[in-house]
Amino acid sequence: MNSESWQGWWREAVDADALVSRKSGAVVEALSRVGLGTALLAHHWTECLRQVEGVALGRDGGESAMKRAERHGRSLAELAGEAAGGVSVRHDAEREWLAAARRARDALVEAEAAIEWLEQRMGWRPRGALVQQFRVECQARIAAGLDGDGFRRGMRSVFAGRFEQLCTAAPTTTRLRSGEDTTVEGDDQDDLVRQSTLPIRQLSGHLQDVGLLPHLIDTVAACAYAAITRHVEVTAAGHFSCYALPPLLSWLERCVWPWLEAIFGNRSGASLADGHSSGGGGGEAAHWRARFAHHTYEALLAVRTREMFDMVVDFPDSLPALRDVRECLVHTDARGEFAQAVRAQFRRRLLQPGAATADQVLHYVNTVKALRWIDPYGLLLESVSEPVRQYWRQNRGDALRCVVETLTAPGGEALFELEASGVDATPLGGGNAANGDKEEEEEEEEEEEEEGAQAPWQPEPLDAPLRLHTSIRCGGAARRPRNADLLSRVIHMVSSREAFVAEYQQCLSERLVGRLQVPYEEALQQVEMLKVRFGDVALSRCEMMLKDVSDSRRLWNSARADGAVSVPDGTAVAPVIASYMCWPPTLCQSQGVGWCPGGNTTSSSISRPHEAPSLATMRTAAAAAAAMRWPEPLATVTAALSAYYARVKTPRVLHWLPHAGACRVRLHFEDGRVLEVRHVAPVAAAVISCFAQRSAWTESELLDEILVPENRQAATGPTPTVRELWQLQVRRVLRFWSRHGAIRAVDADTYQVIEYASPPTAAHTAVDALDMEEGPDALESQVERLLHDDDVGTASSSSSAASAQPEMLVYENYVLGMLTNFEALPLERIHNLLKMFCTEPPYHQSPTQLAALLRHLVNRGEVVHSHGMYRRRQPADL
Amino acid sequence: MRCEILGARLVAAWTWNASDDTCGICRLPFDATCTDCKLPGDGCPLAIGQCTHPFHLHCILKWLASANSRGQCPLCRQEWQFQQQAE
Amino acid sequence: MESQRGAAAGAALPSSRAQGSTSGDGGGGGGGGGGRAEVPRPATAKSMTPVALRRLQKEFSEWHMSSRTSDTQPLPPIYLETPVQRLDEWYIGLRGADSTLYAGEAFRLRFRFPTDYPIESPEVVFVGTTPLHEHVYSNGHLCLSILYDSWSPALTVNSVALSIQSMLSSATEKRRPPDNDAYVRNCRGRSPKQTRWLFHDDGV
Repeated sequence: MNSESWQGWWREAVDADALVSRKSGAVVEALSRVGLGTALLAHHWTECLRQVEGVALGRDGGESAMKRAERHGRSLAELAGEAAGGVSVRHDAEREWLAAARRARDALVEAEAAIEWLEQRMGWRPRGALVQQFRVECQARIAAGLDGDGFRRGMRSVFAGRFEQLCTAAPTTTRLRSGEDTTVEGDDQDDLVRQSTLPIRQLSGHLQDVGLLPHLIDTVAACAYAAITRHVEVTAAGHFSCYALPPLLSWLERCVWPWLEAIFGNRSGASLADGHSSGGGGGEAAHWRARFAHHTYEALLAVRTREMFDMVVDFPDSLPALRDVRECLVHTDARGEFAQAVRAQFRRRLLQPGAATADQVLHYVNTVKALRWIDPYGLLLESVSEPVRQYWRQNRGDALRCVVETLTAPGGEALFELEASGVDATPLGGGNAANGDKEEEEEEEEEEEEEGAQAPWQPEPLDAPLRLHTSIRCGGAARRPRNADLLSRVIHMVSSREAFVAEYQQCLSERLVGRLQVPYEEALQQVEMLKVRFGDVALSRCEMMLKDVSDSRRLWNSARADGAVSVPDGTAVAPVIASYMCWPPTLCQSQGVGWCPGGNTTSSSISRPHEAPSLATMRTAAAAAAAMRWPEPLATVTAALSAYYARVKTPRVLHWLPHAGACRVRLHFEDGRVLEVRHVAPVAAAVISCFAQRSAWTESELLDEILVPENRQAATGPTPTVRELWQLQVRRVLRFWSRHGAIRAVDADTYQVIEYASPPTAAHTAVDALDMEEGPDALESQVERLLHDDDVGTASSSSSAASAQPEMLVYENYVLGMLTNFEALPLERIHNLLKMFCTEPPYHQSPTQLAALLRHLVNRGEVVHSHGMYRRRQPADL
Repeated sequence: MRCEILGARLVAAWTWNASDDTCGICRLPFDATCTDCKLPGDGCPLAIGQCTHPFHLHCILKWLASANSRGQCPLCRQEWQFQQQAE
Repeated sequence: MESQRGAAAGAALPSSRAQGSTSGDGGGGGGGGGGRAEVPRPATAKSMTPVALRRLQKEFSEWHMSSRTSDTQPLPPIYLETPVQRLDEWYIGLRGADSTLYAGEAFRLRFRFPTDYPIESPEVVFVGTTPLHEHVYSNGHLCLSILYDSWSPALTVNSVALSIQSMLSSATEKRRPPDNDAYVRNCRGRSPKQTRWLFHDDGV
């Protein structure tokens, strides 16, 4: 309403009723008490009076009203400054705020009452417009008089303080909102909340009345955001075993909503939470709640993302935390950032030279499981995997081997989820793949139909796949996504499926013949599981190997029952009779020495590249077919079994392999020392048993002794000759035994038994010559490793194993403790860690000396050395 | 020094003891299988004729069943007779 | 068919001679009904038995291995023409041995393999220039017992080609078979395996 029309109204009223002349003085007085807002009204009033009754009275009234308004404005501004500055007197400031706001409100109420009176007196009906105009003018004047920033800062500390108060007072359980769940406790809680929000409710009510609340919306929001962030941090950070989202949401419900409600209450216009906090009625209320909830998701996601790497390490204990991530990703649009963060963590913490490949494999497996759980469509996984894959393929040649070893190690099947059903079996190399595929497809269709009954099918979105999975179901209830085959995924990361199967076959071969006890049942089960994934054709060789083992066992039993073979008491002998075409070529030969099939060949020497790679390889390798003279009692056993086999399996014959298999040998020396070595190749047993007959041998004599005569003749032929290859082999074996203190070189060519050790060493030494995981040619690698150690060491280091130990023994406990904590470490890292942490006494030794100590620990059976890594021997190893 | 061998896992490879190591019909090694089989050894045995020529049993049977064979050994064209195996 | 073979094998005629008649069944080819002029197509690789496939792969790889070593040498007297377009149809290059009637001449043999090769013999004919020989018809058909009744699965493409080369080498004069014109006219377009051959025992 503009003043002109107002004046028009007024004039009419005055003309109509002379009462006004009597009451005008009182009205001016009432209005002038009200405050700054009244100035305007007074001005109009004065104008009117001037027309009706004269000038003086009106001017006086207007001036006094102005003064009061300014005074009120000043006091509000001062209070704001005080509140902003006075952190310690926050509650006092708040009280004064309350008082000031109350005063301002009272003044307004009074002014409104006066206007009302005026209207009634003059019979002026459309009062709403006048009151509204008055209020607006009034609020504008108050706001203009404020120091905005200081006021907001002050109010923020007031709100935050009230909020904390509320949090402590609020019930710890989720407040139940739905009607039927409302219990007595619920009512109590409601009361409690109402009580604790009372002061803030009053304050914001007054602020609303004087029109300041709308200016504070941003302040309140910032305050809420900060509080939420802080609370999320405290609740979730570092706690992987808690599913933080529900308590957080309930916290929003319990603390944040009531607080907002208390602040913005029932007011329309500036309200955050409209009316009842539970009602989704008001669009603005819903908007604010959504914003705060969204902020909660974001804050939680930030915390979880930061700790993603450790969550993967803790998998599956961190499943609750992963569930947070999944939920948060559904509610935010931060998948890209999330993936990027995880990638960065991988680069920083995993893909670096210090991390052992086996650990990387393990971590990646957990990552797959974790990310697959977060994002069943695998898009996240895809983007995280690529750098790992590149890194492995470029830097980690042993990754495939590590995968196979992890798989065959105890618990490996569970780790790779081999027992899980319903995976896509993609048989290798076609063959009978057609049928399998069809069945798979049918199963898949059935599954999809079931799925379809629950929810309408939707296409897979490209970037926001998680929206489909907003309802979270733990465990197997949810349908397994298509890329669920963990093993295939990991294989894809390191190599091809074909290479994996080949490596697996190699590893299986080592497990089946490289130990005295064969893990037949486990291996059989695992091969069956792998067949589901790779198809029967791919694993047919592995199957044949297993069949050979079980057939051998049966044949051995029947041979013994038949009396054809007898084994001395106390000797545990078991043969494996191999269909060598199905075994890896390393079974028959190592380093060109061993047994070569096809000795009786009369046909063309054209190799058969597609049919029998093993045969072809062996033929081209200038292979040395040479039969070894076996030590007793193995000679008797092998001969008897050969005869039995030739009898029952005519026209098949056996060829004993001197490099495959494992012997357990115990040596008794004159000084009472006993050296027990497990898992040495038969050739090593053959050599050392020669020393039992005669204490000194030359290489040449040994060769003559252990090779059967016809092979000794085979000295002619391609270079290197059979004999030369065997000579290298025997030389390695001799080094092996001298390394273990059984024999020593007395001159360039002659070795002699060490009957009396000097200085005297442990009376009984047990050596596991081969690490359990290593196979038939592990003797070689072992020996080579030792040779290598010699090479890198100084000239004097050939005796370092004995001499370095006394001063090194001090560090034994450090090393053992370190390996207990770190699981597995390479030599270099142990060396560096000792340098860093050993102060008592300080560690200044060379890596070579450390290697000697570690070797000593390996020999004692406390530490296992495998693929360059040292680790504590686990009970499972024995 | 005394040397005891307390235990051993011995490994042997078997081969067919025949005058040839490749089947003249399918041209695959005897120590592997014929084209139709998966299990070498007992699963895909060797057949030796009185002429001493060896074949995969399955291969020679297929040949003898064919009209072209006229019951002759593919290698020497003598009448095919299975060698009696000494069990 | 059995009886035909038996009769042919039992007969000992002074020279090879083609009977005009052809059998209704084309042996391995599976086509070639009576009176049809169309050459029976060899089976495609798809319908070959696994035995045949693996055996051919094996033979092929043997050829391949042997030819690889001779890259720098002149072509051997017998060689497999590569690339082989179809596994069941091979072409073999053949050169007459030195100091024989065919020295310096080059010929091409076409091998077509039946589905159950090597139990069944391949169809072998000369294509292009045919040598003047009393066992080789001008349409490329050969009168050679190992290709028909005396086939053995122990024979390979290589050994068959060698036999053909030695058949040429042992010739004392260059001439067509006496019944060449009649035979060629009669069996126009048919596979030689549909012919009932009668061989004389001259050790070919």
